Amino acid sequence: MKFIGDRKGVAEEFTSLPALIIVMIGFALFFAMFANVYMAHNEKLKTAELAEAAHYIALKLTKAESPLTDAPLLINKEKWEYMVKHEENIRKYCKPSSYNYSIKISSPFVSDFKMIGEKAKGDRMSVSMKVAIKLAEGDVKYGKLIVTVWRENE
Amino acid sequence: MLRLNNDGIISWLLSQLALLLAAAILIASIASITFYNDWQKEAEAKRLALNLASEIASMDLKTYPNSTLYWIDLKKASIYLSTEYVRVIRYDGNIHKKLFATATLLVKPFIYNGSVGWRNGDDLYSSLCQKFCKNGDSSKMGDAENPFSYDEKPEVENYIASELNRISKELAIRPLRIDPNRPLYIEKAYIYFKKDDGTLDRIGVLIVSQVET
Repeated sequence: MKFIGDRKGVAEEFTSLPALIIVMIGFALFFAMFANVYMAHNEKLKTAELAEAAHYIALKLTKAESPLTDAPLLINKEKWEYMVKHEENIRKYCKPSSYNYSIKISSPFVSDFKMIGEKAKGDRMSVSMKVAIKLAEGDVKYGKLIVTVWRENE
Repeated sequence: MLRLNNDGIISWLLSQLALLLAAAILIASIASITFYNDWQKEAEAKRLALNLASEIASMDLKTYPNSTLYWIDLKKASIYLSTEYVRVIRYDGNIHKKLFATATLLVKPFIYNGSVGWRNGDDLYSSLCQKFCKNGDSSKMGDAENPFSYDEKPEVENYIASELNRISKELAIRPLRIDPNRPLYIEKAYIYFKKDDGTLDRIGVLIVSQVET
């Protein structure tokens, strides 16, 4: 134990200060990391809820009873054009409370489908789904139905 | 030199004490966040609320008549269900006694609370018969065997919409309190309408009720 008893060790009493600093840095880092994980988790949860709503709407709108379709996943152009003018009908069929949505068709074959619903505001989530589009009797093309969902009160 | 010198003893003691104190706070905060915090309980409640909401939404997406029983796996919570929200409250929090979790329902179901709504599809059909049956040859109306005529569709739709409106108002004031020891019954029933050419048209009705005993 010679080095403890060494009377030349002038800085000895300050050895606890670096230790204190390290502990405080650890303290701060721990809280920063924890807060970060917590916030990321909350954000993910919100996004997941929005994605679920979007998925639900996409599935609901492509069902057989939907005012847009003739059969499951078969969108009728005439019905679509009618719904562009009478948007309230589609809201009556599918309107999850506190969510708003718009739908559009993206296809390499058709370009004259108008969007139903207004432009999205704030955080949004889009879901697309492969559908068949009936332009006229016997004329069926494929395309994608894109549903964009956002929260109404944000 | 300093260690053995009595003059420096106080400042040495102070910095040692500060170190001890900081370490104690650090360890205590880690322990409190991991072991004594309520985030786990809150996450459990949130999970239950979201799970129930998505169970109801997925039943609504069924394309054929279907029903399921939903067992609640969190016995210590009170669960309130209205047509818009499912709310889970538990009272075993460490910091705050009450812990809340809320989830929005994507679809408005018909919830049976004892006075309004229907227990199940059969209940719905007999209640439709009481309202719409003209001749007493059948006790049910609206199922696939006894469809409505297509002309009656707007009338039936209006009736269903007004019932839903009534249930929504009733449950907004007094949400259905779910007993966690009994399962929830979730059913997607269809009301059928026969067109002139013989094909059937239908509208879907989503029913949620608590199974009795």
